[in-house]
Amino acid sequence: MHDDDLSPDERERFRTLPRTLDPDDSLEERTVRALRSAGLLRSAPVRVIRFPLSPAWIGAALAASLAIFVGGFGMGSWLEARHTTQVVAQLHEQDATRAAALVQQTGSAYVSAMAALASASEHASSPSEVSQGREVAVNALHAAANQLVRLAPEDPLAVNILAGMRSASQTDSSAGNSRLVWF
Amino acid sequence: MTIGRPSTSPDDRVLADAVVRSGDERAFRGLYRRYTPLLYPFVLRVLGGNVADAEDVLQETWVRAVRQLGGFRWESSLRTWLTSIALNLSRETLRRRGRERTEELPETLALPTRVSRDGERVDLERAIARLPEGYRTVLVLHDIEGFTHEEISEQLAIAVGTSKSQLFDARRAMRALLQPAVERRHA
Repeated sequence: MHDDDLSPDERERFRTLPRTLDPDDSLEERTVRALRSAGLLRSAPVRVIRFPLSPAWIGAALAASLAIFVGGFGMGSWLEARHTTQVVAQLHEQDATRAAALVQQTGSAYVSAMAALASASEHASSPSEVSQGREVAVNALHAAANQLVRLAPEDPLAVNILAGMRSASQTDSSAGNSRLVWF
Repeated sequence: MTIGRPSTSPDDRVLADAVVRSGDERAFRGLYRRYTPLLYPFVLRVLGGNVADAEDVLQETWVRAVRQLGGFRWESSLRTWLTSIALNLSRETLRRRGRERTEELPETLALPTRVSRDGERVDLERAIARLPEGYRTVLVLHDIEGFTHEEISEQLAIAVGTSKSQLFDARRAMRALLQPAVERRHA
């Protein structure tokens, strides 16, 4: 029997796997560009709007421009005056799906950057830059592990990563090797 | 949800005609936004979670699809047709990169695991990503995308019996890969 091998539990686990996922937004533009350069798509036609150049129209346009300028200036001043915490609070209001997608994208970028650094380190002319890159990477990993523990306090993997890093950090400190890395 | 059966949305054809007839960019973007979120996780899973490869495959899928759209006869759904193009390109990518037996854990695993605490789902995605290519493709097509063995045999140009035995082996391999995670969870 080949067809019906999944247990109800396994079937349920497969059923709950997400079926949709948005790739990075840049992929759409990349694809459209590729299609345009292959001559398969045409850009949307640009509509030319002709304005009547009567004195009344020019006056109205000037008044509207002035209103837009004053409005924009006021909006800019208001935005500048807003406290940072409000912005942070708004960020936190983003739904979990967007946050998870962001973690996926930035996580991939982090790993790619690390791969590039590892590759560069093989031919590095200045080991100090590689070393600095490594420290930046460790700091980022540490910060991420902290958030992971916050997310899942009993997750053994995150707890062990933190414990291991703490232990390594103590060893480094006692050896007098600690360095400050500026972002 | 089954990809393998026709379920043509009425305006797929209208949009496709606009793309074929006049290279209408807006119509193309309509199709892209409708089907890309469905194709992306499928391609990611077949490729074992490699984001860069998946994006390249998706781009090439659309280029190839638009090129051939005029000849599409609408005997299957547009989604089925796009899926088969994406599948062929994914397999070409795997062959080109020599990943016939993927053993490395994809660190860049970007499959949708919306609920981060749902460790079981993450384990399952990782186990699928670790399967050898042939097993993984059949398992994704059958157990996730809902293809029948007849449809898989057509897509992969293999016998129905081969599809069934590949699925049987794939499930067995997947359980073996999941076992340590299950034991860890119950420890």
